[in-house]
Amino acid sequence: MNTIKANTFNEIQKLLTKKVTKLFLLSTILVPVLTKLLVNHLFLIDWVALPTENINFTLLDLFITILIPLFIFIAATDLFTGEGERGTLFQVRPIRRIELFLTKVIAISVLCLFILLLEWLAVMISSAVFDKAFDIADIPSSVGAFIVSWFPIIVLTAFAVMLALFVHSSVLAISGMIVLYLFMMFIPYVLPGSLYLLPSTYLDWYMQWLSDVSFRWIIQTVTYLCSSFALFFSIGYYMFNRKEA
Amino acid sequence: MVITGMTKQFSNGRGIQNIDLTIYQGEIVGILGPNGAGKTTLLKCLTGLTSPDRGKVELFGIDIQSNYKEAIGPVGALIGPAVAYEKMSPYINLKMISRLYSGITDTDIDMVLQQTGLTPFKDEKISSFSMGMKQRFGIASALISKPRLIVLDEPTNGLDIDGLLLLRKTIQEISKHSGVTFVISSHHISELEKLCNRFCFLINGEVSLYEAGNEPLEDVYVRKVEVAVR
Repeated sequence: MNTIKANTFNEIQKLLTKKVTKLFLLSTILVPVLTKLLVNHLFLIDWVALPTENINFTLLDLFITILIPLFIFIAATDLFTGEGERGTLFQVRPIRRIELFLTKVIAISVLCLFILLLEWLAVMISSAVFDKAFDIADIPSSVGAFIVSWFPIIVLTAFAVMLALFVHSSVLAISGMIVLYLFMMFIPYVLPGSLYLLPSTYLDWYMQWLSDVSFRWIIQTVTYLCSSFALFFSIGYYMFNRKEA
Repeated sequence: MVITGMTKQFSNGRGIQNIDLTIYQGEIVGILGPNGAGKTTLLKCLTGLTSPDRGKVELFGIDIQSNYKEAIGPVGALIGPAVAYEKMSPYINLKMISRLYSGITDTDIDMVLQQTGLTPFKDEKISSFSMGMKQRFGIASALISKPRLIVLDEPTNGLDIDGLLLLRKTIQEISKHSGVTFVISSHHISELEKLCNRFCFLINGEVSLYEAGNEPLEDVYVRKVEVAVR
């Protein structure tokens, strides 16, 4: 098997073995189903008047701004800082450091895409079952929103991996990432000019795609996301390559 | 395996200095030395886990620094304590390792588990293993790729008598039937004496070689240490 493919498979397998990943996958299914059930059948009668798409995008926001970043922080900490602590990060195997680094980043990103697609599926099925206002015509825009959300998530993954490599303690890594993420979420309220410089700002960029999107905005945002990814990935790899077993 | 002018110094002053060493195919070489002499550092440099400050390592004629993947392909190693993904079974761990090599089948995994006496525990989580069983797994993970060079750092650590005998038998069988080269570091001088045909004394970061002969290895070792202290 090709080394990149083989090790990506290994890294995904390692993450899937963790209880926390199973919990995230379970919540990916349960949160949309329970939300729809509550909204339509229990006490939130007024919400029924809301277009079903709004609830779907609220669920997407919950995942891309809270649950998926949390998953990324846990996964990056486990695959880099945690493995460094346990001594499993570097072993005598025929795999180059760049391949090892890349496959770990790919594994986290692929699982994030899987979580997004699973959530989309759970949202759509629960909408079809529970929502009175479910409209099949909403499917293309919703699947598009879920898929474009993956790109800023990849950038956040590279950012988390870079941070994970700066520290030697898993506890410090995960708490540092959460504090920094909260800081990034709230700093624009104090310094509005910083808004467009933070990778966290672009997590909900799908909203722009749903409205009338300008070519200039696409170029600017895609350039920012690509350059941020390149910067975080390069610094991360530099740190990773300097590490010794 | 050819090591030329290898030096690795740590900030505490320890390390290895200007080491030249050639090991030929089929040899079983024992590395001996006191604590802190640089045995593990030497083995880590030899397997690319650590970069030397100076010097070069060639494995099977391939420079490890410029062509790591190709050079390390035929190498199996257990360096330091055995490491594994502890939430998984030894079988799954070995399966994951096997994906990085071509031509390793499930039968090969079963055979390595049998060689190391882990077959009855193949589906148990490694986190439930004793130190000796983890060490057996570490040896299995070094053998799984059917390597041409096997590097073992303190492989007898934590092994019970059965494990020790099984390890000795496995090394002797593999060496006899496959012509595999072994580089083994250990504090168990009598164990090394039974297994190895050449010895490398690493004292104060420098090496001296000794061919297996009639003189007890312990006497040779004591003499080498005394010379180094003077």
